[in-house]
Amino acid sequence: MDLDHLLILDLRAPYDSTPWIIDGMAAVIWEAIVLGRDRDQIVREDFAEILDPRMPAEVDAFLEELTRTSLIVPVATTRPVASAATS
Amino acid sequence: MSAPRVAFPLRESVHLTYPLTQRMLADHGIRALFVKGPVAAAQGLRADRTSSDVDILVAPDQVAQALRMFERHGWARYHGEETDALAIGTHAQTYQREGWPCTVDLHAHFPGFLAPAATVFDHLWARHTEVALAHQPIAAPHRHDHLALLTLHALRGLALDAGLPLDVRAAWQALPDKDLHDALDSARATGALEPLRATLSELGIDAGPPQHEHARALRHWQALRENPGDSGALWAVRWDQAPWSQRPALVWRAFWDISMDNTRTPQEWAQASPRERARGRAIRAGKGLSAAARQARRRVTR
Repeated sequence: MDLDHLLILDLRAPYDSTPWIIDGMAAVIWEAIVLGRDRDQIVREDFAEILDPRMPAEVDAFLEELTRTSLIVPVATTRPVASAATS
Repeated sequence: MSAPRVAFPLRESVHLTYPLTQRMLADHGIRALFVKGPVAAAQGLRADRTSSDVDILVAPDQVAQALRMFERHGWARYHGEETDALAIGTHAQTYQREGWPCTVDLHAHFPGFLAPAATVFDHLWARHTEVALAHQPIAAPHRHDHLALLTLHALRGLALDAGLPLDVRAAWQALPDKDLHDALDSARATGALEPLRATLSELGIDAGPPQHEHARALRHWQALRENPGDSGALWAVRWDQAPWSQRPALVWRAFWDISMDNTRTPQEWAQASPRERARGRAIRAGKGLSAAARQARRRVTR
């Protein structure tokens, strides 16, 4: 997966979504989700070297955005639904 | 952190169009196989070049449903809403979507597979596999069937004495005996054996006993191969293939559907004045009549 940027497309009906382009932290978070990591793992492991205290809130905000658009669903382990393609 | 929705590059739009259209077709119960382009690259049958379109072979009895579904979900006919590529015997209808740089070709059949379209599709479907594109499984022909399809596709655009693309040639030559037998058996089942025979022979591959079925379809295939790029030969084949009841409509479309004339893009034709369109039709009619005369002379001299 090329982390310069990612494109995410919602595949569900009515099949008229336009892709999202994400980069930077968002792309890292998406890749972590695809690998099956949950929110705490992302904060603890994927961004372990980021000392900015605002980081967890930014991760939460992005996860909330993905949840709002139903690209991920809040289950015990956060996983992407099978309705999104990435390129 | 936000994720803006943006226009996107050709290569990525192609990759995302595969899962999007596959999901759309599958949700509607339409059987479809994705061919050429990145699917072939994923099967090691060609280099990973950027494609400009997505090719989908649809179950023949579900083509009309697939066309309606594409149009219901925001895809427009590339050559204009009033055109009907399948009605003039073309094997695919091209679609585009606003904001997406690639096009989609919905194939009702694939030239060179000479068995009836339904027989061909059922055979390919029974053996089909999946490749991963954009992290989603995409329905693809069996690798051996895909190789036959790519070879037929290459032959359509080649002069009789021209060589095959290197990647196709290499893929045939790399097949172990067991796989080669499977590929040839499958080519026989789909009526592709005779169109492939001369090419296989050049590669040192014995295609086995001749296949005598599909003689009329083979005659059409050979006529097009002997006259690559000759629109007269193309229309003569379309005329021969069409039932008598559809021939008047075929002639009408051949001359009237100016948006399919490739001297301009469909968008340019849409903007053309009535006078320019009339002139275009007159030129097209003239070319058509002279091509028809050329074809008639060829038949007489054979």
